[in-house]
Amino acid sequence: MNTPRMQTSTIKAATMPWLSWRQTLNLLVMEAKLDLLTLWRTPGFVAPSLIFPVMFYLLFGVFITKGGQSDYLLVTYCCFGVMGPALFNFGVNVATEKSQGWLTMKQIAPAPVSAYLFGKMVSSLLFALVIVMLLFVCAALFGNVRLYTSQWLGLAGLVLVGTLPFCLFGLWLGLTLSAKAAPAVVNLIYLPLAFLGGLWLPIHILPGFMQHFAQLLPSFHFGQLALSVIGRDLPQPWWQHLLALLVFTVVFGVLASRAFRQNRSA
Amino acid sequence: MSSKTLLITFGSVLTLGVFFSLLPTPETATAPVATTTASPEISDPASFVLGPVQLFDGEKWLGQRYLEVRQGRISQISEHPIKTDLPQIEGEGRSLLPGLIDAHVHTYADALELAPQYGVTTVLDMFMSAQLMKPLQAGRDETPSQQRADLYSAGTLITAPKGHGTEYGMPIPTIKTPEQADAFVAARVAEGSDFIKIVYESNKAPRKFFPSIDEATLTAVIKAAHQQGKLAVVHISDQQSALEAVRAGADGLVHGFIESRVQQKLLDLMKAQNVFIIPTLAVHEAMTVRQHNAKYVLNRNDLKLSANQRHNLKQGFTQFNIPPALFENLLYNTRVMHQHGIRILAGTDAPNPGTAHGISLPLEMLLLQQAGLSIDEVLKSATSLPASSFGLKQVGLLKVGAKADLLLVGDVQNDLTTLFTPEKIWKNGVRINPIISAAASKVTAGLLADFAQSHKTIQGLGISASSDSMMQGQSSAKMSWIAEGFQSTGAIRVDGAIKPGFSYPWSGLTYLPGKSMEQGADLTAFTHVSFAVRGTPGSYQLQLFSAGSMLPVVADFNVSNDWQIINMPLSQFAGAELSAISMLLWSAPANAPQPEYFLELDEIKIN
Repeated sequence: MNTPRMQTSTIKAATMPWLSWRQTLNLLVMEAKLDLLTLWRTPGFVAPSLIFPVMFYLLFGVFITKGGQSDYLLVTYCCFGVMGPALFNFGVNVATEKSQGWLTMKQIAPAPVSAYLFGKMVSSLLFALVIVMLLFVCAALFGNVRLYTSQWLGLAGLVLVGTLPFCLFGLWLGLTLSAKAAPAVVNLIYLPLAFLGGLWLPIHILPGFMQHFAQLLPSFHFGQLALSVIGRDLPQPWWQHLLALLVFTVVFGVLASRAFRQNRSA
Repeated sequence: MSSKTLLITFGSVLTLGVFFSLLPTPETATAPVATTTASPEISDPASFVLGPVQLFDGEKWLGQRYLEVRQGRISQISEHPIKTDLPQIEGEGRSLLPGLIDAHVHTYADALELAPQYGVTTVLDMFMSAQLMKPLQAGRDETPSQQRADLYSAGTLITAPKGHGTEYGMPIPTIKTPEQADAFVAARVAEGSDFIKIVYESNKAPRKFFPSIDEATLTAVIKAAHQQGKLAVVHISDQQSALEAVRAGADGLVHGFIESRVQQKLLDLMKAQNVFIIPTLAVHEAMTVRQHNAKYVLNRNDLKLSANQRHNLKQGFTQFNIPPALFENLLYNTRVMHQHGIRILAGTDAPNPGTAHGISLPLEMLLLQQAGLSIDEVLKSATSLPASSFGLKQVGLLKVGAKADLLLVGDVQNDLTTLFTPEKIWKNGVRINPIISAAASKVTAGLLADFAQSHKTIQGLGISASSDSMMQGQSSAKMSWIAEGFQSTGAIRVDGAIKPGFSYPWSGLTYLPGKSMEQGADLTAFTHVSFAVRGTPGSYQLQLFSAGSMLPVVADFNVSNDWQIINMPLSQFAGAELSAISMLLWSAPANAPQPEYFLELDEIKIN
């Protein structure tokens, strides 16, 4: 008996006929600002998500390897970096806000819940952009990385768009996990996902079985797609990585929307 | 929209635009500024992109590929052109192979420098001086810039007292009983042996050449090697010894055998125990048929060969008198073993007579093809198979992370002889430069020495006494200048004794005709060498040594109590490399009836 109601609400959320486009825009900007402010006032989120990728890149990409792989590792640490806000802002923060009743509040409020998700998306992307820019500066100054402007822009654009499956993954986790469990679980997923997907060390120096296993991870395909911008991806065709990411996006999207419905009906 | 929002939007876009336009881009010809901040890889000779090439990765043909090499290692293999700022090297659709591996060599002198001249970038040494081995093994796990092959070595071989391996004048420890095995192998491992090589000859062997360890000792040594984590490979020269070696647990046989055709029993046992074999066809061909080198190499004048290599390729083991037809057995054995799925590895046994470092591997590969292996299987036998059989992880297979040991050749997929004229060779990502051999010294016709005032010679480096005492032999020789010579004042006298002890005993006078021992003298313009001689009556030898070679070509002459002129045609020294003769040795013969002798020499001439 739930089905008709949900369908209407989904349609409403998408079109919001009771709001003018200006009101819609204001709403979206408001939500984004709000979420950004929340994030900014959470030092436990800001510091690690900004500092860790930069620190790891400088350590592994510049100092330990003496810059020998600084362009390759710039790409993979960008991927690693942008996955952070996506997984944590959605995973941990949604779980927390769910437990505080904020999510329920959003769900019953006249403003569509999609605006809330949009706000989170915008703030995650902004953080991702800051991380990418910080990494670019480090790479240019300390790693002697030289790329064509089209490659710099392409890389930034690709890794930002590529956060989508990870946002949905995070959302699903946030809706499923308790506020207490979420930080630990998301960390347990984030770090191995990055390492096993070849984002910390070049995938081709990992043992053969790990290289095969990587094919199952969204992080691997994300990294390879980004590496294709600088022509350092493995011989596998790029469209396979794109296809894999699309499949992950759909799967996480379906999982997240199911969890969303369960959460609402609960 | 409020003006504030507009302002923020505009400001952000502007900031991002400025940010991205400020990010550094690769240097181009129009931007010569700031070359100091350019990536250090740009000038690194061991980093480049190569393609398009037809790629044989060591196991199979992958089709057209592009290769990226960074700091001496393969960093990428792609179907598509690779976009980087590294130097691009055109492949022009040629074939690219892993650097070749010669699975049976002996390393001395310039072996490791000669090998890569023909694309052999890794050698597996089956016996060399353990003292010389250590420094040459260095660097093989990294990718230093070097113009030589990587060395993996057995070091000192394991043999019985007076067994095969002891006859070269280099004193080596020997083993007698199985009880010594553990300590003996441990000593080899401590010396740095990468694997253990054992010489074995069954007491049931049809023809025995040297004393050998017994079967129990063989078994014990192999077991000790395995316990100490080393591969055990065995030198055999007949089927019975091969059977016993495999039964004793050998991982591989480093020679084939020619005295008989392989029997089912041995085939089954080798297959069951996954034993590989290095048939060393080239060196056996040089013992028997002796046509292969001439057909493919010596009759060509476009190949880069040193005088020494040319000389070595002309030699054969004539002293064994093996019927040429027996070589067919070895071809048959190799084919049948291959058909049974036994791993066949390409190895040359260079620099034994009839073989030379580097060039002999393509010669061996042609013989493997003749034995019945397909070209792809032959290529595997010189790349991925020896690497996997000896546990070498970084060579023999072109994959990301492997050493950039590369061999660019013509249409090798259809014709192995293209290996004789390699296009380009890289070792650890660095191009191998052709060795430019210094020219042999010029000699003018006429007197080389008349010893009028002293032992000093007119041309060349000089004359001196020489005997096998320098190789721990028992012979001796002492030189002096005497006033009374042939028809004029001054001659050279040697008083010596020739005694058994060393495998090739010698005692007499050596004369070096060139300005250096390494390059020798060019005698191609001449037909005869002559000298005045008298001494203890009997038959003596004149031995001609080619530059870099320890194998002389010998002709006999007779000596009496009275001075006489010996005029020897150089054509008598068939096989000597006249373009680079390093040494002339007047020696008493090994089988002299009386060990003691004296000889007086004068008026050495070349015409």
